[in-house]
Amino acid sequence: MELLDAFRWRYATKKYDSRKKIDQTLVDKILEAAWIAPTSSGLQPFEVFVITNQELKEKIVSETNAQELVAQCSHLLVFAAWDNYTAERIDKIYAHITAGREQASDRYNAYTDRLKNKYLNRPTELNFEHAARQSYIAFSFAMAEAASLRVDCTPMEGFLNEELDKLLQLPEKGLKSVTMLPLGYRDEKNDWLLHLKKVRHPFEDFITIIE
Amino acid sequence: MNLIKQLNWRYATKRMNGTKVPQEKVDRILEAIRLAPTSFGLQAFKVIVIENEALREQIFNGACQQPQIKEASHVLVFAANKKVSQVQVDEYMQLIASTRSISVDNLSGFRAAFDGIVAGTSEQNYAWCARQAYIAFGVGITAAALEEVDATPMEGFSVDALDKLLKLEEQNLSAVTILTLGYRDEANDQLVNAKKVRKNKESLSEFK
Repeated sequence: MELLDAFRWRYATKKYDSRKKIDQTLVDKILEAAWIAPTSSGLQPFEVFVITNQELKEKIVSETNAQELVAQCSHLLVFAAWDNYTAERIDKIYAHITAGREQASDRYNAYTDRLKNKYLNRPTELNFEHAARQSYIAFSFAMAEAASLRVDCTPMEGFLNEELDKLLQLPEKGLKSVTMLPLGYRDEKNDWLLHLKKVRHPFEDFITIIE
Repeated sequence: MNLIKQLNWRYATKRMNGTKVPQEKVDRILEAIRLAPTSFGLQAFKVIVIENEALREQIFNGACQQPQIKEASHVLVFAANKKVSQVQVDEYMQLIASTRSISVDNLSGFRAAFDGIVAGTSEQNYAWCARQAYIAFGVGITAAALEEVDATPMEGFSVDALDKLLKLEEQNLSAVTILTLGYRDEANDQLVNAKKVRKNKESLSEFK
């Protein structure tokens, strides 16, 4: 499987060649992979911000413990999940699904009633965490597509989420940042991680087989 | 490799026909999962691969009454660590040192980066580990699609019941997701011909 070669090729790039920009057609494919990713009940409870504005990227560096790669990369993706589930959000998605499948608009009402009954009666934090997990599937798909196109990327958590949220005006949109994915091309001469061997737990420690 | 094409081919298979997936395909899917990136590279989760029919029957009856549990070829359970311990971090430092032929002393700075995580509560640790498991889960879905193996990503099961059946608690683990692998039952799967619907692309991405 070529995906295995792509995964062996990829690594969490630490330094980008800022002169190299990614073709828009490749960026579009990476976004398409994130877009097509499956999510719980098909709600796609997240959005992806695509940042190329240099000034904005430089501002974001200070929310990442000074990781310059955020400014050096070609495109910075920010995955931001819904801060909560609401009846309006669920209804909007299912109106779109029934329209897309040319079905009666009440086709899934029993199902969406069950969803609302579950989600709207539990804490906001739990709903955000659930939405955030869905965004990780898309995050994963974007990384897989980037690797298959031989575009470098750096999956990132561990940044100042609230500061970034303010900078991108996410609270007004009912969103909270979850992960970042800088995209670009590695700086082969200066990236200290490039030639270090990939470390993973051995198969038998990581996978339990019950025959 | 046309990943997008295969991701359009896949769908959440609701009925499977019991056909076994060739072992080499399962092995490649598992290898892709193993190679998935995770925060700090810690891989604080495990994948349990179940073929055993009696156990699948128990899972179906006690934790997840979806027919794919029994109709699939392999049932993969992604289970995340409930707590990250210093012992686990130190074992990981040993793994890095031996893989890269360096002294573990060179990793003291990196080791210290885990201090905040080890000091965290088990709720915080589990939430973080579960998110990492989702990356590998996503890779599993992708790899299955490339192998033209049908797969059903699942969350809706009884975590407590599944944890008990698989004795996960004793291993500092708790189930996060299930991915069944097998082949679609075209005659009985209502979803097989349903159009895949996603949000309008412009509402998913915002360019700045």
